[in-house]
Amino acid sequence: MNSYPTLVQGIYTKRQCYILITNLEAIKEELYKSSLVLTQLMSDHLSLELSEEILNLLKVENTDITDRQSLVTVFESLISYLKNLPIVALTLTYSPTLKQLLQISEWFVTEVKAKILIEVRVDPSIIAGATIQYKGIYKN
Amino acid sequence: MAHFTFFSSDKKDPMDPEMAEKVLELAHQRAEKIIEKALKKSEEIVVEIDHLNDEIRKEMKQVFKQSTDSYIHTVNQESKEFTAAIAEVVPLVKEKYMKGADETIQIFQANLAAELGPLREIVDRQVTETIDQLKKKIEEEWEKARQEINEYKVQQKKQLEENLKTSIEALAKTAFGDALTPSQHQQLVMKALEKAKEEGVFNT
Repeated sequence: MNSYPTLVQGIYTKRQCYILITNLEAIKEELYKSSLVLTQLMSDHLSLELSEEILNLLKVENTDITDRQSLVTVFESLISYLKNLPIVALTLTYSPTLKQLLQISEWFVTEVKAKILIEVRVDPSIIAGATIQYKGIYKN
Repeated sequence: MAHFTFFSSDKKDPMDPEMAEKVLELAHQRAEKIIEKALKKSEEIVVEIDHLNDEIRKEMKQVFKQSTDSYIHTVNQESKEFTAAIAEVVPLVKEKYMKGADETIQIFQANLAAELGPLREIVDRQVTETIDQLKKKIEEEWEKARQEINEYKVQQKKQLEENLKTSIEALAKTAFGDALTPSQHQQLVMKALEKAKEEGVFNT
């Protein structure tokens, strides 16, 4: 669990997180049904970097990668963590670049001390700046 | 009669043709005279008859005139008598019928009053109810109108604010929006996040 923030460092947006959850659930399902080993399953659904991060995570947590039940438990825990990450909705006048998203995401880690996913909404009618919506609070 | 005598003698002694012709001519002349006299006489008769007719006409006219005058006189006389008789009778009849009429009116008024009593109550009640309903209807209409005016005011105010907002946004966008670089936009976003943090938005 403590290694999860490291695992999701490269995830900034709600959409990225949703795709990751979908892929992790697919792997979890196939752990039940398929005879393929974990590395093969991850290569089918995840990027190389992310696959390595998950292998590191399993190693840190001393999980036997041949024990499918243990793997399922870890994946379920990871999926649950991702589903419970807080989300901030930012409405901007432009579509931000990856660099700008990274800057905003890091600002949350540094200033708010939390991993917060960003949901970007573009509204050209906004003159400048952003509107912020977080846990039901709206700021213009 | 004369020519009969002449023919009687003719039977005894047949006349020669010349003599017969003379006799015939003489007879003819005598006949013409007779006819002439007869015509004259008939004309005289006609004249007499005409004269007689005129007289008869005059007499008849006189008789008719006398009869007519007499009739008119009689009618006038009877008319006067009838008028006088009527003049005597009319006040009596009038008094009788006026009295009867007064009694009838009094009876009618009494009956009418008896019948109108409940009717008047009904009418009064209906009038009161109608007035109440009208008052209520007027109040409802007035309230409705007031409500519509208020709604219209609110709508107009909202529309005005919307128009104002659109105008200001358009103006601001022209003045600032297009002039900002992506970097300046990002700085504004970061400032907005800082402000939200200061306001405790992320403390929840």
